[in-house]
Amino acid sequence: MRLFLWTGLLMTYSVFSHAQPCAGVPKFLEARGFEPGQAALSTSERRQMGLVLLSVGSKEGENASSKSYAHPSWDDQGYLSSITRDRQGHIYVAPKPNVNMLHTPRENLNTIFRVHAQNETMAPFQKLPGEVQISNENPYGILGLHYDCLTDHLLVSTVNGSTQQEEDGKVYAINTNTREVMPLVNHLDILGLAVVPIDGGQFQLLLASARESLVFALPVDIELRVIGPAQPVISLEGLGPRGDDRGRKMEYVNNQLIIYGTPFYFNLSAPTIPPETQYIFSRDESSGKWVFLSLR
Amino acid sequence: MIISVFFLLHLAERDDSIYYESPRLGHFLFFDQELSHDGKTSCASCHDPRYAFTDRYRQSFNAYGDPLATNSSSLLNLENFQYWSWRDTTVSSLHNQMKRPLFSQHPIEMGFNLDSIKILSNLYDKYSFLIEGMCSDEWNSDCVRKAISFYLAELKSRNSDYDKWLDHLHCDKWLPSFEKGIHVFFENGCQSCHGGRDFNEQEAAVSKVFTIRPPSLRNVVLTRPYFYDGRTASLSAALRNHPKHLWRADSSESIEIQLPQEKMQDLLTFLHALTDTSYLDNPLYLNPHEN
Amino acid sequence: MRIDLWTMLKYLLALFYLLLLISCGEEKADGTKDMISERKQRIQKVLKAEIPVLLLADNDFLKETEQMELLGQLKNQDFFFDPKSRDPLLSEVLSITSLRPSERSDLHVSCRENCLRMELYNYALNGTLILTLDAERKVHSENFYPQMQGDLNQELANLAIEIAIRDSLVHSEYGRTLTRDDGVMQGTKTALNRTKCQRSRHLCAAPTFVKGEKALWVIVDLTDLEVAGTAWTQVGRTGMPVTERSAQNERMMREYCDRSSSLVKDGWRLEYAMTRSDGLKVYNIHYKGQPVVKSIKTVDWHVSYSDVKGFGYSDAIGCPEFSMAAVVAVEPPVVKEIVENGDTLGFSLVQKYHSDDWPIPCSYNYEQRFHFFRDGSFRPAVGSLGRGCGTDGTYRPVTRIAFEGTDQLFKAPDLRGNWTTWKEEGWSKESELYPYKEDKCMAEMQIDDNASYRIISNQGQLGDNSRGDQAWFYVTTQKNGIEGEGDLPTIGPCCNTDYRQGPEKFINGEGLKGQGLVYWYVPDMKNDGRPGQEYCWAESILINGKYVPKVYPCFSGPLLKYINYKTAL
Repeated sequence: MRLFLWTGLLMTYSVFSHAQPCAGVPKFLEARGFEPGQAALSTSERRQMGLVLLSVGSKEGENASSKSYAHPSWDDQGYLSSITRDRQGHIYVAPKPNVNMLHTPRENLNTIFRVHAQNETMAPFQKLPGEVQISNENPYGILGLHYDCLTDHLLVSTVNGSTQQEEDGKVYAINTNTREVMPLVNHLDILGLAVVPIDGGQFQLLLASARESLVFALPVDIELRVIGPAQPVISLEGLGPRGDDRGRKMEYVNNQLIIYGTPFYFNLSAPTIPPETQYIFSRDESSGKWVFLSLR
Repeated sequence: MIISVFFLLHLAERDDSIYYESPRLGHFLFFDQELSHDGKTSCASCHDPRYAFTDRYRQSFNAYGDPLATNSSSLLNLENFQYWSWRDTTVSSLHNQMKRPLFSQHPIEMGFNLDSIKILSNLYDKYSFLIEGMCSDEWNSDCVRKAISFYLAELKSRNSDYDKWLDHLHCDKWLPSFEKGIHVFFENGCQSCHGGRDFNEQEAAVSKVFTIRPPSLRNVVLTRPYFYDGRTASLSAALRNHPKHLWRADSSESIEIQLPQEKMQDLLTFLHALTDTSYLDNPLYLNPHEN
Repeated sequence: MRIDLWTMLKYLLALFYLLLLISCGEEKADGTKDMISERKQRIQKVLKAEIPVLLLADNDFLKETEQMELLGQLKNQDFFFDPKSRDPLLSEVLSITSLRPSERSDLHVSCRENCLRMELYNYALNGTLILTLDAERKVHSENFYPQMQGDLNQELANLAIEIAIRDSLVHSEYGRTLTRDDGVMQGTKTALNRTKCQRSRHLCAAPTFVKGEKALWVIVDLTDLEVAGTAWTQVGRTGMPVTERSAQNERMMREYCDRSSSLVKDGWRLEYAMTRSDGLKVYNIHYKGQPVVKSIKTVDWHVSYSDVKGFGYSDAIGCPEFSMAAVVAVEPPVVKEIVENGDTLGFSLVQKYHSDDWPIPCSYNYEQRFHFFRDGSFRPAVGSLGRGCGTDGTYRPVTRIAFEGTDQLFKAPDLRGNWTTWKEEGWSKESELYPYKEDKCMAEMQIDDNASYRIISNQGQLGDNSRGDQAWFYVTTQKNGIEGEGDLPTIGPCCNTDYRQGPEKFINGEGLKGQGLVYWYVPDMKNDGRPGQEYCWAESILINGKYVPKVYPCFSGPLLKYINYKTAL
């Protein structure tokens, strides 16, 4: 029975061989004796807080690891959120409380941290605008992190300040070279983020709601300038084993949109194995609508 | 025989400078997780100084979460031990005892031998200045065990209230029940198995038939749960259900220590008075990698 | 007296009509009961059959005997029986339909004309088996989909509506008794296609009843044949079904989170509310008109799996949404009588919390029980119903009791057994050497000159199979009446084995005299998953073809025994 404690569900799991096409491989990987095709980053190891580098099997689905590494700075912020990498191989993470707030410095809930691709050190990269609000009603800050290869921006969503009555979440785009922070969306609590190209050289910024089983589409140009209002385009309501999943993460691969759905209610999770289902959609070019294909 | 083996180990390292170094190397090795093949388990994983060098599990676990055969024993005051295993009387030295946690494969405990070359190489890189004095001939698992043995031989805990009472110190602070508890202990023959300075020596007639080594009662309050399989969480429950068959191969009875409540309390007071945590002030007992 | 033939005939006819009336009346009045009873009887019968499947009676393709014969030929018999024990797992044929061309690619079949698709749902495995049958009605393919539920058939839909309209909870929500004609059929079809029940992993339906501009969704659990919850939606705004968990969450948030309810019973008057992360808080507690306790709540749940490595969790319990709670309340609090040997001694206010998929490993189920006795005593008990992440863990829930007034004196026996009044904030720990007074009394909180509470240690004698608390207890001041009253974040780490469990953070050497006092209590409960010795444990066992949890609860908490000096004399 205790074996599952050690395998650990790698829910927040970035496999080097399966990541976005532009994501660079950190230089320290090989220096530490890991093979890029057989290595993964995880922020959901059950017995280890923070970021962990693991060696995994080469077969898909194999997650028993025989080797792991974590730089001492990688657990300074307690439990962490989703992982994303830029072209240079720098890794971006943010504090995200798990089970309790004991290990999460609250003042950093709206701060993105970067693990340098060469020196391995995790350090603050950019703090989002505004004061961090600390509340017993909503313990979260940054939820969504996604480096978009199409527009070369780091997309970030935060729900800090939102309450049950008031949705005050925000989405930003950050230029990782200049660190310029560009606000994109206000008053929307967003979990998953993705950018997909559509006809005419335009793009849709897809925003998976943290409050409902909906995905909104915000029309943007290549510079991520907003050129229209956000509209709901996908609903996960009634789909899958739970019927009310939120889109934790989204990937646009081979003209298909994979939404990783999971329950989320703005409370801290109990330490069960978090359930997750993948919902696969494709876009019908003639109607412009997203069509549900299957789930897995 | 056991004493002579231990003595010979000491004789072999009689040079003062080497003797001075030996506990230090063992001290580092005891707390070093690189001693295991997965780099996650040290001796201290099952023998934590805060709990009199036990781990408070019913049965210890390896790095994979597999349960081991027995409850973890305290490693304090080892030099007076007659046997170094719960049940195996052939394990007659500390040096031999370490074979099981280092080399056992069913289940794996530390798995030293699964990756011994790499482990020894890594350890040599870290501790060469200590190793050269001790094992100038060859750096191998035998030397590792020797070093740790010397370290463990240094671990002593005999500064309990009972020891102070023996030395007639602070007599006025004793609870009346404490001295009554001493009488209860000896009146009921507990010393037949838990005798001697460290309450773990058996009388000659008893030792011939024992199957389970009686543990020392020093720091017994810290070493719960009790018995070789950790079956009992509290000391009072352990006294009430003390299995006789553990020590008599020819008997399946249990000793139910039938004492009136007041005498039981006195006995518990005495056992509590065997607690000594003053060793935690000594850096030799603490993790050198953290200090 | 002679009775002629005609008279006898009249009497017989009258008797016949009377019997007819009675039987019709019974059938009409008990129609629902018959439907549910009949269902239960059918289930019992089917579990003893060769293959434990509820067959589909009404369909155009296969008779029941043909269905049974076909199922007997399946390769995957583990769908019907537990692989280890071979106990029956209840399942049901939901539908038998013609295979549509689009389904051929989904199911990877190359079936030609006249092929059938048969869908079976397994209640124990919560999974669906889809069979395709060829023209000869032989099994062409078998595909099992775990955690998926097929479309409900008409029989189940009818059953769901009947259960819904007969439920008193639904009556009170809607405002009147409902009938089948209250717009339920259309709503049921929509809901049947898309409604899922997730928390208990049961098969559920959501018949809907429109009222004005709103609709009442009734979530019916078809595995347990009862109403699981209700929720209102605006008609036309979403048209979306409400899942059971969402319905539960919404009801809890709407009616209980941060909202006060009051209770007057057995001489007690109190209020209670679900907090964000301190569980159910009971406050403004009065006994016989006198205020006695300001508030009681469970601040944290510490769970340790390794004293050496310090691995564990520091959970909080509370509201299911927008809260710091890690293990959430899934149902409203309930009041139960405390009865012993036929006498009612008082009542308990009970609140449950559990994580999804309990009792699988690493799921949690906690319960608060606030016992209030007619004699003025009370006991805040908290417990775990398993399962946790390991067989060798320790649970340490942190309870806070704030007393009313500022005249309290706290006394505890010293090492020599003499009562000593504490002058400053501090802590102590139960142990085998603790000098308990009579009745296992470990301390006393004197509330004023006339009354006090004797704090009785829980050593398994309080009637809940406890194995004893071995608790730390702390006494602090209320610091102008506000410290600790609000929702507290997690105050302590999971895995300390000494007095540093969280409440020590409120100890700063203040004097106790003239202050309102707070009593904190942290028991030390070791769980046990060993067969035959389970404690703080839970597992799933197979009963009547479906898995149900078997629990081995552990409860902790002292008894505060009320002593009135005037009456005692």
